[in-house]
Amino acid sequence: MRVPFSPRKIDIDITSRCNLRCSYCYFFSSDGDTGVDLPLESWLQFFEECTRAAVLEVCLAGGEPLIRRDFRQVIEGVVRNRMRFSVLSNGTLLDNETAAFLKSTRRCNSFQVSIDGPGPESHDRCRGDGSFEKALRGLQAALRHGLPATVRLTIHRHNLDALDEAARLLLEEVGLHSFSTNVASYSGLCRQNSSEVELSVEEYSRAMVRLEALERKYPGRISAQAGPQASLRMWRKMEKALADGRESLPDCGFLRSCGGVFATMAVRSDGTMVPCTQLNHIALGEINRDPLMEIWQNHPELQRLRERRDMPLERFDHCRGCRYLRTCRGGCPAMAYNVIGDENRPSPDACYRDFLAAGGRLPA
Amino acid sequence: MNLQSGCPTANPPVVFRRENGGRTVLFNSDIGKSHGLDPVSPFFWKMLDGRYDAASILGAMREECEGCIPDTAPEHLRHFLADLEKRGLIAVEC
Repeated sequence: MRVPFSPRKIDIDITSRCNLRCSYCYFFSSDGDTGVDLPLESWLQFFEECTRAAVLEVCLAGGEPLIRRDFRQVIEGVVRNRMRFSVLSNGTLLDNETAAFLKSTRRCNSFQVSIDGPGPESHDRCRGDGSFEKALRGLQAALRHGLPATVRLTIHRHNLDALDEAARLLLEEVGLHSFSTNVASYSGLCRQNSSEVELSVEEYSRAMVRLEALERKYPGRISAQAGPQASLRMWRKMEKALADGRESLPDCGFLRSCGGVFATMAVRSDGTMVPCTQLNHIALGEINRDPLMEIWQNHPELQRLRERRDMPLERFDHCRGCRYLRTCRGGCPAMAYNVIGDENRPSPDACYRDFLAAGGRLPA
Repeated sequence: MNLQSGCPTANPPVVFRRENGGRTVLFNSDIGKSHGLDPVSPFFWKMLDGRYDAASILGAMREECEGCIPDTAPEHLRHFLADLEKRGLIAVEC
């Protein structure tokens, strides 16, 4: 796979601070949790380099990006440097004034708010008291001002039975066109609180049943790139291929789940360039010291991750002999690192055979 | 706007970018849309800084190619500029 001249997009943790401490947060206690926030001037200098490299978009996250007092100046720097932006936020700090400002830039691709349930019982359980009302207020401010607002719903033990009501709230009451789902997964604080928040195999199976029913009820309005809904889509394809007598699927049989390193790079809040916000233990260099283009084109760690897609699954003991070998892509490298300490192996959380062996079932 | 005598300028929010395999695009960051370029057009694009009219751009191309530019080059340039103007990617300064 060819690599473009420069990254199209850069994911930037502009702060390592947050006003919440969600019990499954992937960020806190990860390698990205540096406790260091670069000053505005450093980000503005970096944005100029991004423009020279023809980066088209930055995704601002953290921590909670809106916690920065100079958030507006950060956005103004992005806009001045001819880029578009997305924001990943818990939504609790978004007021009317900020929403109006973001809209006025005309450069916002999306403003994502995390909403985990239809009310405080399911949302606040992992995110903290009072956070549901504030997040909903933030979402409504975004919509009121015409921002392209999206919602990410993270599925965990305490909202699994509230998915129907959450979908009703978001799609019917709030009036979102769509939202996406994910799952509390073994990274960051979730590692410490795994038994409290992570779904068991049985719960994962139940989530798939609920999400499939919701997809039927709201066609095309609930999406996922990870978690039960994404697993269901992939695992159904694998089953169908075998049922149709096909031994393989395109782009399968290798570690090819992630194409991120071919289009995107990331920067931690301390200015360390990393391949991805989820692979923030792999330090590639420092912004404003090491040239972005040089890192992107030639850094051996990035090359190593790009070569991952040429690793056949049959190389791995765990996969050898698996009937799904040629219909599988091996899952997310960051999850592989989090679970087994090696991003260049298949991720156990994506293993369909293991899921079945542990009693998991796809919806009938 | 007169594309024949005027000096076209790239609009400020437009970014020139090389994608996979050398493919080039113009990205209008105000509306978030990309416009693909053919292999010749990047040469023209680099001269759209408000200092050159169509004749000077063709002259520069002739020099670059040591006099061997195809007969279709003027028409190609005219189409290119008209298309970019229609898409709001350039303006003409003089």
